[in-house]
Amino acid sequence: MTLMTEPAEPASTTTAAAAPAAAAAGPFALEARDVSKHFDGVHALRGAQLAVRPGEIHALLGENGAGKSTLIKVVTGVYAPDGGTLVRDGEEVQFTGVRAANRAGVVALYQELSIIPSISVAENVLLGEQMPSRGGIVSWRSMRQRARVHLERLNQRIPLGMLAGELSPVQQTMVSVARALATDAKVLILDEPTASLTDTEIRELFVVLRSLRDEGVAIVYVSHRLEEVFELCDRLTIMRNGSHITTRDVSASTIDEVISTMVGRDPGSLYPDRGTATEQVTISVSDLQGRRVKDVSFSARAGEVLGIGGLAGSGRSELLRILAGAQKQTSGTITVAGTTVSMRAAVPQMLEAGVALVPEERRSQGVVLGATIRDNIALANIPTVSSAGVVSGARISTIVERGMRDLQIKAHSPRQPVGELSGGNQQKVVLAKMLARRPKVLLMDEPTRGIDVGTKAEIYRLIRQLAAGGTTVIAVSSELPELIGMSDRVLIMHEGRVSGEVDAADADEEVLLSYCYGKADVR
Amino acid sequence: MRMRFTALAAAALAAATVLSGCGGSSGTDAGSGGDGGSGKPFKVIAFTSGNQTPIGAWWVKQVQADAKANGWDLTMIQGDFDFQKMNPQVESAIGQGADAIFDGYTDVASISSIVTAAKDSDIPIFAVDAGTEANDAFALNVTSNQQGIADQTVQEISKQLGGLQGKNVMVIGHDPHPGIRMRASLAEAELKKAGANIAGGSIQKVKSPATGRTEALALVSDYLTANPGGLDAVWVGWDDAALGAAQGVSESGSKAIVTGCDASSEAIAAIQSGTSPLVATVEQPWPSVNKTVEDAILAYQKDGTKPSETFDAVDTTLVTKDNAASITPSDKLGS
Amino acid sequence: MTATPTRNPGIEDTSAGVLAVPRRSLGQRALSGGTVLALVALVLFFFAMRPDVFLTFTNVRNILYQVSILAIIAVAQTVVMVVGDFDLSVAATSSLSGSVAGALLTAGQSVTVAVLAAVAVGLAIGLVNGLLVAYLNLSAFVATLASMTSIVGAAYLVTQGTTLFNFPAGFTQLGQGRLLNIPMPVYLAVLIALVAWAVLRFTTIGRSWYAIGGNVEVARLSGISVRRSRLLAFTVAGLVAGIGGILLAARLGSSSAVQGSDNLMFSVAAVFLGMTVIRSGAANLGGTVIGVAIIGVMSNGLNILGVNSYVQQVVTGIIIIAAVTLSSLKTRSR
Repeated sequence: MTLMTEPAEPASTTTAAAAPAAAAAGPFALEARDVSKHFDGVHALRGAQLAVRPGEIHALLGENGAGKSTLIKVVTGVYAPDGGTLVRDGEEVQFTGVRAANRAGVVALYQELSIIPSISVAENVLLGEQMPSRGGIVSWRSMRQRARVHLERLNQRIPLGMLAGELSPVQQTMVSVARALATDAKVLILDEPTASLTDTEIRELFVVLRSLRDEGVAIVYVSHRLEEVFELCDRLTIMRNGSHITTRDVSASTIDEVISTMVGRDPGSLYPDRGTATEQVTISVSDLQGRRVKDVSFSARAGEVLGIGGLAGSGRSELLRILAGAQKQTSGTITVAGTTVSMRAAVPQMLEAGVALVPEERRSQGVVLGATIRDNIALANIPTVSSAGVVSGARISTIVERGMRDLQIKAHSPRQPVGELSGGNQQKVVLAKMLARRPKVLLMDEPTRGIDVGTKAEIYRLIRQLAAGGTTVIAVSSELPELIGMSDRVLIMHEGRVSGEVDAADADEEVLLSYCYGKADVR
Repeated sequence: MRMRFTALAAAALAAATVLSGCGGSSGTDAGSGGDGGSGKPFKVIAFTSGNQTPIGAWWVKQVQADAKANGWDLTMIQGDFDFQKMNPQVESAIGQGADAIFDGYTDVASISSIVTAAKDSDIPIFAVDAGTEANDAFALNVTSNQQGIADQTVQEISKQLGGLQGKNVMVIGHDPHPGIRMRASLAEAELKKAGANIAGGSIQKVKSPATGRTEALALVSDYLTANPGGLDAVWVGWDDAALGAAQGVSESGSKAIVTGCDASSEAIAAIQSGTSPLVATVEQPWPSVNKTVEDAILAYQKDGTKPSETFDAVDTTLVTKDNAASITPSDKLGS
Repeated sequence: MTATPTRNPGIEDTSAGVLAVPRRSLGQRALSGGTVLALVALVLFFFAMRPDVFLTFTNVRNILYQVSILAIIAVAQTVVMVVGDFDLSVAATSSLSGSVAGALLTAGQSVTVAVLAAVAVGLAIGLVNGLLVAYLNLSAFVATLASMTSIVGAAYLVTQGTTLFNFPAGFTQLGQGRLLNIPMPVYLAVLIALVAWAVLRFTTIGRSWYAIGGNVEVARLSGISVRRSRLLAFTVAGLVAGIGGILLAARLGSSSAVQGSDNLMFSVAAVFLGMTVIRSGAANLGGTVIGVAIIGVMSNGLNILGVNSYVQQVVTGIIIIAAVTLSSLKTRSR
């Protein structure tokens, strides 16, 4: 949500004098030349380029934090660039705000900001300045007619009087595309438009986007789903660290090559080398029962990374939650460092015993987005940073500084709200706050969900470092390559039971998958 | 308003602090009373929660003027109906030391913490209209005679209707106000005794004094709609609601008469007009009540004498068309 | 996730299955809420209890008269709540407007001057609220809570804590006069509600208010001038509340600093009840009118049955909860 802070209104377009060298104005609908932008001294964009032709679908690719969203905000007038120029149809332009960009035919559609759910479809198509009215009185009849025309151009038959909030996700996207067309958009920027769509709906969207392309609309398509990009797009631009890396035809590229260009190195080196576990058992579980968990027994040693896999609903996350004291245990025993933990132990007692959980839903369970890095870390460590009920600011500063340094959290200062950080850095904050408790056993549920490739490697390295320092890491993952790559040993769960156990070094995805479906039982 | 109040309270507190600091007076010292000869001014803490009502506002001005004339060192605390704010201020003033405490129109039930603090410091509380019954919280509490008010109004209704036997009378009250609650139940009992039917079976209750007029209006008009011609009289505990009831009566085309209490200028004007169903109200003699209490404080100041009786209920005056012109309206006492 | 709290119960169930939902007629749509059923049930109940009284001309007129001023204040509240804000100062504004009119009349000014000045006071308060919320970015809660406090203080100053009365007939006729045996405030409430409905439904500003209330960012990005629209919404609310206050003073023939203070909670309750009536869950005029009707019918009906007013208050709260729960149950089962 922080992304949509619009500069002060009212906005208006200031068209600078047309670029003198008309010849330089290529056949591009929109061109960003050598754009730079920095925030608080940090370069978000440095020499960014984007050139989109009318009648093409152009993919904009890069890892999280590569500068894609900043670039989009520059070309749609949300941010004013510090350097570089924008050229629209051969004319140099400066957008003073989103509305100025919209009037110039440049429109960006954001997934979560596409429609107004509580008003009708027709109004959603013709919001604001496009609403047909005379003397302040709205003409509903001509509104419906015009909305119908725009939707028909997309081959959509959506009841115009329906509330937009009652439409399916793809229809909502269509309505927002129709609104863009109603403002006579010539450059349409779509940010992750397929995130909440089903396969069939994605097909439907692609048909529409192709037909818009054939009508001469320039489309910029931002997505992490490379398969889609290769199916839909004509050309692609790859960004890294705020800079332009390459622009080329999709037909002349391969997915592997694109990935390595995005990451900037060979993706093979994603996982660090395995370490050697000690003989000392830190946690052992026998006959553990709870919701979705049946008769689970295992043990793990200091310095070991134990991966837990299984299909969604197999009980893998519930197992972690029981171990962390976040879910009730109905029978069985948990022994941490030789001491058996009470059946009724909740999170504080488990933390005390040395078991900490980094939860799956980072944004809802892991961090307080509005609070600062410092406060987030302090939150989980109130007992450690306080004596006799009084919190010590100095002790907080110590653990916060240590956490930020050890985990290399990229932020302006400890006082930056966590919501402003990238997904990877948010995850590091969660880690920092748990590591400050110096856990013997660190539980991680989907440690790299929603994190870009570059930061993933860092998280794996951190996990390995922790293990080398004697911590036991138990990590749940739904991605088999990750499970194999980061772990020493892998347990697979099926319907609440452990259905297989494999040494990661000689694990095979096919075997793991068959355990996931409960097809074999080695025990 | 609030700003002004806060500034005033702060100034009062500051003054109290300075004075006690210089004089080195203590609670026990003050408690002995009668330090007339020592040259130290007699220190009085006065407070009221009702300073936003016309009568409360009049009382504040009157006490301030009288204190000046009597040479009192007065601390006036105005509570805006907010006991949570007022009581601690009064208590902290007590902590600074005082010779007497003067309560205006604040019921004993709302100030038990003040009463305790005063007892601990052995400072007597003198009060105007601070409870409808005798109790040991006050050295003196003078109020108007609720029984008298009920008698006067019920008799007037009886007179105008030619007897009460079989007559339908609605009684409208407001329980959180102790005076209104008491006179309403006295009136109800008297009406019943005289053979009148209480409309709706019991006392009708207004929820908030702020909306008393509209609530009474709706009560009367809804009752008259449900029971056309079903009312001969409406007895209301205070004028503001009585005026609403009177409006309900005339809008419904009923011939019922209405009585109130307080002698507000609006009620007096309605009675004088002769066209309103409101036929009577009651004047409570606040200036003389206040004088009586102040005299008792002066007597205590002189030689430490406390009144022999701690409670007095003074007689009131029934206001009808005949004497309305000669009555000073309760909201015009100061002017 | 979004900055604007979404009040639409229909959003979460956006599944492809909803596609099959056919367009529904206005009548069907209105019946989707339990609130309408609650009103119908209340009317039937009171009618069954007192068939000789409840639906007579006199009593229906009584109900309309009793709710007319609440209806006007609720219109003001509706406009602000359409934009997704709310205004805690509506009742205080109406008291101050009534007090200003009363003070001017008492000082011997003409009815025209008094009424115009009182309207201007309402307008000015609305404008200030709007500036605080739209341009100084205060939350509507804080801004209008603070302005309410000051407005009540100002009303005490204007009335000097007393009740002002003895207004000329030309003024009291506004609140007590009758046309075709129906009191003037009823006509004025209907007129104001109709105008507000038309503004909300048929004007660009009305549609902008709905767009802002639905999703302020989308509205902004679509070229709607969000600040100006919110400013205007609060200004309209202040103006309408001011008119309500004038009518209340005229209806009672008096004005005091606190009169009509219960209109705040009742207006919010009426709008909330009304929000349950339509599918979008947004504030709307038709719904508000139904909400006002529920409150009015409750109070009148219980008075007619002779229910103790303390019990009435408890029952009123329960009915509101029941109506809202009933419609949310329906939403969930969809």
